[in-house]
Amino acid sequence: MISKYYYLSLLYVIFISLVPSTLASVKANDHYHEELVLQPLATGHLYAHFQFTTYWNVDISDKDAFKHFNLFPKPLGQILSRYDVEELHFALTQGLWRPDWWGYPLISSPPGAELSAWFSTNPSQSIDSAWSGLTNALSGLFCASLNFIDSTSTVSPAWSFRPEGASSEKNINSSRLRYATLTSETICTENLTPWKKLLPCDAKAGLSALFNSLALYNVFYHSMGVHVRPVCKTKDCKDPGVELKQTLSLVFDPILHSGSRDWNFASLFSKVIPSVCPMATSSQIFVDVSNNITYGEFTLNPPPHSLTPMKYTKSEVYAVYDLNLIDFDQTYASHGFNLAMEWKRTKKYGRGLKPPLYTHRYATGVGDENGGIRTRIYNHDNKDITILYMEVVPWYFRLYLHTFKILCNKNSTKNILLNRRYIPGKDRSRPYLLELVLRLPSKSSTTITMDFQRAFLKWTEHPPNAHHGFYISSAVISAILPNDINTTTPPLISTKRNHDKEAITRIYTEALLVTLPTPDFSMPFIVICLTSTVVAIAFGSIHNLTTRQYQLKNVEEAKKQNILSRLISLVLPFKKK
Amino acid sequence: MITFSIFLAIVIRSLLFQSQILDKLVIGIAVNTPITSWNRVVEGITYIQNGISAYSGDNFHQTPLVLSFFYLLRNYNEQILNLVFIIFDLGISFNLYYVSKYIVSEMIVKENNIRSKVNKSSTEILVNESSAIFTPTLVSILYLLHPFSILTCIAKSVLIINNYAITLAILLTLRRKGIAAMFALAVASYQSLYPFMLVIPLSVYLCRDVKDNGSSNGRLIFKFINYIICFCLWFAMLLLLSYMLVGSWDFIWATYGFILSAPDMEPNLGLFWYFFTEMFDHFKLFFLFVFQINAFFYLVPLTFRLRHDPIFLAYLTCLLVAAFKSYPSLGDLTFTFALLPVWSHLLKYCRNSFVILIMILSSTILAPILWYLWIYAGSANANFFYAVTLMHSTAQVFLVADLLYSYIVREYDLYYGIKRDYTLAKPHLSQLE
Repeated sequence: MISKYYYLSLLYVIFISLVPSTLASVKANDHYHEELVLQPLATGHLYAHFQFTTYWNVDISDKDAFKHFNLFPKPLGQILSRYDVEELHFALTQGLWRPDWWGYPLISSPPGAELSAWFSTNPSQSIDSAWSGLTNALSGLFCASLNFIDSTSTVSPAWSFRPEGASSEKNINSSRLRYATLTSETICTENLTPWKKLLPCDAKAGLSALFNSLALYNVFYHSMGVHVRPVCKTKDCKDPGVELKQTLSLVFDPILHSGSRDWNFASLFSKVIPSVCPMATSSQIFVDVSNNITYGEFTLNPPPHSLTPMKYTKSEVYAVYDLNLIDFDQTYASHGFNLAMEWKRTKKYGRGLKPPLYTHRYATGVGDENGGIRTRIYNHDNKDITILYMEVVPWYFRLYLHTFKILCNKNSTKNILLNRRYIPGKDRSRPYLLELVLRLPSKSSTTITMDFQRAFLKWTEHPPNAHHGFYISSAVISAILPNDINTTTPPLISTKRNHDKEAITRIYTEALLVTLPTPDFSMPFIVICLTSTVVAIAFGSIHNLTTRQYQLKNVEEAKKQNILSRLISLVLPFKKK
Repeated sequence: MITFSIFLAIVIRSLLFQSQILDKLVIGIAVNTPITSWNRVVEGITYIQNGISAYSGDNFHQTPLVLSFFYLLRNYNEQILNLVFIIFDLGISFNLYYVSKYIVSEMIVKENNIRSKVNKSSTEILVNESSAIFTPTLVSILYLLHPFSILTCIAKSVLIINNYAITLAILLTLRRKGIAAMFALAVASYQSLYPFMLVIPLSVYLCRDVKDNGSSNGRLIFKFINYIICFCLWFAMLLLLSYMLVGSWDFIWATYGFILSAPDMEPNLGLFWYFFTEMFDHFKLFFLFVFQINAFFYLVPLTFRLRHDPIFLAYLTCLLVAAFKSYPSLGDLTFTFALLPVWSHLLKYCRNSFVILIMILSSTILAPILWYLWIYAGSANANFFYAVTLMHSTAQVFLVADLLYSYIVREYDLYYGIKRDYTLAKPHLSQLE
């Protein structure tokens, strides 16, 4: 008996000694951070930006590593591995971000769904089939109808987009990139649920516990995003990693709901933070207090743990709350953590400082035959800004390149249009892609003009709501802007942009809704019959005239024929009389 | 008379070029098609200037040689370009004058020859010099001052080159210059595929030399095949030249593939667009074949029936092509309607001439109105405009059938005489025995 006990304990010791080593192999391979930025805007709105970042120390092209998952979500990881994706940017947005009211957002996205993916340099399948598989897989994962993305809405822009992560190539080959936008995509709680499930704490603890579907969609602007990119810790990239960033940007309107600018978590989200997420290495809330005196005077309750300057000019100050330092067990056990901002007095509601670059796009034209697209870009800065402009127009709006014009309200000696790349569209297979490099003079407004002719679709190609119209997705303006004026930079661990002098800013224009002339949908049989009748008249007449001879027929003999033989002679005319 | 009308034509066209009459009359759809529209030619030229292949997109469907012709003219003033189109119009009217003159003079000779063989009473329906002395002038004036030709010229429709080539081919055939005629016909069919059907009637005409009465059938067939081969060689040469200009063969699908498969549903005065807009996908290919065969096939029976009158056969073929081609416009009807007076001796036997006239007139006037109501005002829908296109096509079909009927009945009258006692026997069409 003693020997049995001895052997059992030996087995137990061996087992225990083995377990730590296996634990050690999965320990510290990935870590997870939560961040929330709250910024009161000059117009009285509140900008809330959630960012959930997961770092995983594996190479994104390593297929074996993508078989065992810990904090990195498995559904997403399997999709990335299956379709050889190197970088993925997916955003679902409702509403349009207005730079001239609010400045620039932390992450910008166009209204609707936007999906862009960089595929790996040596993929195991053709990039087009990988893209098609990726759109269908993501459509299933996020309950968004991304499966409508096909070759008629996909482009490979050469200039406007660059990989945001570490890339293995020196010269970026833009044929690895696929970009598509679906402006007609609406976003709802069905999209939030699978997105929430990708988070390690899944709306049960930490910042994601604030997610209440009803409150999140009752906002001015809502943007949900998933961004995956490969990162490197050092310049030579000895240990590569994968960064997954899940972002949720919201613009609340507290004045509409409560009549005053005061807000707290309960009034915004109808929820409070019950506890900190145990899987999160860091969990922080940043509140922008730089404009405490400019917009009015407010106080934060409870007071912040620290104040941190965030931009390299040290002009912006953020109040930092660290959820790990908060005593959820005692102080906030019953009511949870509820951050509140109270305004003592509001100076005025306004639009704040105009950002250096903002834009306005609209469609022109009368009737359903022709039309035009005008994009007006305003440069409010004191110096010239070089921008990259990209526009994707569906094939059924036939752009005419000879109507392309750039007008500027300020006469400049230097050229405004530096370069242009135009890929004409093909019917039912490829959209029109226009990429421009423009140098905008200071304090000017530049208008890009292009006319189009509306094509006529077959009746089956019209959607069920044919008179709603068709969307021309937002144009993308990319610029490198200085990191100080009126730009909201993320004070976040994941991007160390706060200390950079300049940052890439993307502005999306409005999407346009243009009607196409519709045929009558109730007419197929009638049209076939009537047109066939015309063809039959022609055929019948010419057949009659070319196969028959004009000759005399005896009248008396004709009268003598009775009705039956007359009918027979009508039907069987070859019968000799 | 002629010089005055030429002057008037030039003045009218020059004045209308300066105005925005096409936009005001909203008649763009009747004269512009995706193949011949001037907008698209400018687009093609812009693509070349920017280093993009003109056939890489789906906006441009003209052939490379036509594109090169207008590319050479790109740097000139707009007035010079307008002048080019006016010169083409004058060229077509010049061709039509001589075409009608030679057709009429040949008809007079032929009718004089058969004067002894026809019935005594029908000598008065024979064509003679007095009835036909004004025909060439009339044809030419009808072309110059016809609203259809003026509109086609103002719209700068590239079809004008096609019309010029067809009329030149007929003229050269009548002058018995076979190889040059085949070249002109090759240019016409190179630009828009359908005129290649004219090779049959023109070859038949060239083979039947009046002096050559006693040649055997074998010799005639040999000559006939010779002319067809000549046409094919000219066509191949033009294709090769285009290939050298463009550098690849992708223009063939963009031009001839586009004409044959008709993927663009842009409304025009033809039958294809609404039919294929409303067609079920399952049957699209079948009906495409049916419609294209319909456009080409009438040549066969008509050739058998009219093999002794190839110029009339060529004329009916032009009319049928204008009715059944995939993207017709008013430009196809300009020179055909202008040539009607040549066969004015047939108009006496036409049964539906008034109906045809009213249908053409009302469809031409209603088409822009209903187009405006559909596209701009939004109060009518596509069916109104479709009805007008149906009426337009039916009128052309009636015209062809009527002309053919008149031809046949006139032949009958020549044989049996115009005064007949219809108490004993009535004429009607019966099966060929």
